Amino acid sequence: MKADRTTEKFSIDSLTGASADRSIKCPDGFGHELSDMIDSLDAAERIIISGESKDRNTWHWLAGVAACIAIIAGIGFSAWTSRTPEDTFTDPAQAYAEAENALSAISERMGRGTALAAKAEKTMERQTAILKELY
Amino acid sequence: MDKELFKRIWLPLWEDFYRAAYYMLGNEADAKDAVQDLYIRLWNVRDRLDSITSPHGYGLRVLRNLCIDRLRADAAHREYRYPLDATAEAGCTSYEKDAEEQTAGRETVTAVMDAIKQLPDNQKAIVRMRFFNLMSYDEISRRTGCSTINARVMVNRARNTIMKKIKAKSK
Amino acid sequence: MKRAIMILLAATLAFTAAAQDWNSIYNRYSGKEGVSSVYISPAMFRLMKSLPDVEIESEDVDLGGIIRTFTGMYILDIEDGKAAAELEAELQHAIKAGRYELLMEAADESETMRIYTISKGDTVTDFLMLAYDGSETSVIAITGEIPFSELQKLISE
Repeated sequence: MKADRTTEKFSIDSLTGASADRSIKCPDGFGHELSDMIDSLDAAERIIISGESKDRNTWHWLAGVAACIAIIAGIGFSAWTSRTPEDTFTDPAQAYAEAENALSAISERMGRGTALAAKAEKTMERQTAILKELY
Repeated sequence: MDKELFKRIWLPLWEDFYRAAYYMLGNEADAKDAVQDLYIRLWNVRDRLDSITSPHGYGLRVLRNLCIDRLRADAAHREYRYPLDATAEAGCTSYEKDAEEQTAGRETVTAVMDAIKQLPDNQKAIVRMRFFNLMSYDEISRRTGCSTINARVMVNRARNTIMKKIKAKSK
Repeated sequence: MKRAIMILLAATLAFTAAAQDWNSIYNRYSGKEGVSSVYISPAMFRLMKSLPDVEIESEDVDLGGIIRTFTGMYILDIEDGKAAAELEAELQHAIKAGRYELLMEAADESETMRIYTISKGDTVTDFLMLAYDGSETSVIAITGEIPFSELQKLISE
């Protein structure tokens, strides 16, 4: 039966044998292509993940620990919660980049919002025009 | 597992994998595709691979399943069921789900690479340095003469542009 | 001891007088599980002013101008549904009290978003964006002296 023959042909033993078969020629430069492909996979992963940075968690964990100690020291809860929070960044360049980032996110959404509004306006205009025709 | 370690373990085996793929599929183009798929699959599950003692054997098994799948898709008849090696399947717990993730992953990577190609030249260069060469901002600043803040801002902007394009494509 | 408590009480009263105390909100939510947070202080914004100017490429809008008008930025990304609902309730309270004006609202298949402001004439003193995409609530609150014209630039980007 065909199924049996294929299973046999593809047994691990025969594959191991085939992998060592020097008569099968390997394409030149394919190893480099694979290496480049891995670089791309890694880079893409980094780009996407770094945009959703989980590094922030280390910062607020530290802040949380500091908060617990302070409360135990008897400073008082509401004075404590109204204190200026700890800066997330110590480097103003990083902070600036993050501020720009936040603004881009806001700007993108505002742009989408106005685009939607413009679209809605256009639809309304068309509908009003149609209504006018009827009367 | 980071990129360098992954390459050190798996890349040297490519010729063995290629030969086995050629043996199963019969031509260079399909064999190359299968080997690429294999490495993508291995990369996607690399965190589960730390305990593999014999990469050669494991890789062959995953490759075999990939090739069988490929042949199955090509075949006119689908009534033949090929028994899949239980050990290899254990590495890919949900075979079809992984395959879907793999296709999705591959498309995302292509989308990211395309988006990078469309970036303005200086952003493109800095993206390469940061994400491919894994340079720190200090190193980038030294190499380009840009301040670290400029470099950070450009990386941020590039990332925003890329993410926008990916999200637009996936809609 | 009693005197110390009285002084503390007086101090806290002074703090709670601020209607929308983002310090308080941020401090209370940023420690929670499922919440990522970023805070940039007035001191940090001041430090930013002495940074060298960022290179502007042809298509990019210069955001440096707007950023110079900020005194504080609070960012909370909340994945935990309960915490998100709590914050929403707190904010709704302030919104219903009429302090915040709804500037813009949009909803599409992927996300709902609202933008509120508190203004003094043409200057926005508080800016608040809330966005919900089905799994995560994003909150960006900005305090400062932001001319409305600068905000409009954000729309055109």
